[in-house]
Amino acid sequence: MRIPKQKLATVLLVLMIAVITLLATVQTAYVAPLYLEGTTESFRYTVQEERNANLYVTVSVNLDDPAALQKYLDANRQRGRQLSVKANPIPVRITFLQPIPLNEARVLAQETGLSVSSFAMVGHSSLNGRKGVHVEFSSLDKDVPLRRNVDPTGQAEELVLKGVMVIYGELKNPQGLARLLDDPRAYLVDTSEVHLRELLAQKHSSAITGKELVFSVPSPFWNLDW
Amino acid sequence: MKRQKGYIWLGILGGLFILGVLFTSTAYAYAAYHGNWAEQPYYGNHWWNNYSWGVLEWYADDYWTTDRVNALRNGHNNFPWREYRIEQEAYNPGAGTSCDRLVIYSYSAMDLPVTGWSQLNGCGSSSYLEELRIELNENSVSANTWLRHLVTYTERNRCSGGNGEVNYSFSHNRTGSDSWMGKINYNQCFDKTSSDPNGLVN
Repeated sequence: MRIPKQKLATVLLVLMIAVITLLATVQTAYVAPLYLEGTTESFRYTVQEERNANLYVTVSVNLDDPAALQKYLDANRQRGRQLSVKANPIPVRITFLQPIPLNEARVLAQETGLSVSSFAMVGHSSLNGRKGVHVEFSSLDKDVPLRRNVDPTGQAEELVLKGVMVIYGELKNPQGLARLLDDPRAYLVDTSEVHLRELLAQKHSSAITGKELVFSVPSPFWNLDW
Repeated sequence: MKRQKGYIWLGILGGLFILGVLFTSTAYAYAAYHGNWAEQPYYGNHWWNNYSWGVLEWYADDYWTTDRVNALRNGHNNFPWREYRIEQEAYNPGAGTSCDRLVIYSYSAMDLPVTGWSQLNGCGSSSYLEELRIELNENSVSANTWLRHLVTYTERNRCSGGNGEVNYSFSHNRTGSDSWMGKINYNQCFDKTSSDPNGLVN
């Protein structure tokens, strides 16, 4: 049986287009941003690849569900006790039950060997009492004015700060973690990042090796009474 | 009768005066954001305060309609439980330009409920972090009101680094993309020159 040259050329052309389309699809799938997800006993997590190839890790907890929140608090307390006998630096995020004065936060950081990378102070609007937050991306050393202009319209609305509510930092020694866990002012001493780093290293070591991981860990501070 | 007419005119003039005062005191620019995600804020109203001593204040007021707040909460409270965030990018993420010009100094929010914040290196040197991610507390976001936040930056290469732009996007933790909502262009001295959408910035 002879196939006409024109038909053969058409079939070949269709095949070539199909192969190119397939390759293009495979290539797209191959270069798509890395995406991982999973769950632990107390939170969910996702890992997204950034434009610069580093990874953005999000911890997810249903903070509006009292049972889920309590489970998360308990898991962090239990993990904290275990970590407080280990020697490595420990990344922590501390949420206080109530805002504490900046001076008290400084003393606490000194006593526990906490190196602070950022901290949040909370307060209310001078006009209508609405909630507000102010975050400094620095250590606790500098003074922060307790009245901050947050009004570009000239109505002189200020955010009147009550105190420090959240601290992001790293504990240099594990004894500091035990001290924090015993502090009645601390509502949550969050060490989920430690747990998740270990988990990712075990489950996805090839995906995370050599990459910088940025962690987003939720704090329930907004829903607390302040 | 004459006196009655006088009162009517007085009332009309008084009403016009009050309306005029109200109008002038609320006549700020705002615009519908770009992007078509059902969960993102509908309107934006930004301010750009550039100070000669090298500090920049970028205010962003966001406005969710009832439908959008419902979509935001629905996306967060149901499978696959999305964590929504605002991505405030003081650079051009598409082209990888305007890097290392604006370095985040502080962040304040008035009534914009959040659960966390992250500083990232958008582009250029990792010593200068120009991207702020604000993780929303979805169930506390109110509809039909302006929710304000302010990011303060330290300016670098003021009047020598060329023109640039900042971008404003919305995203969540279960996607490889984001919803670009707008941008502000600035000149080499960080004075604003335009915005997209037009009218976004005061």
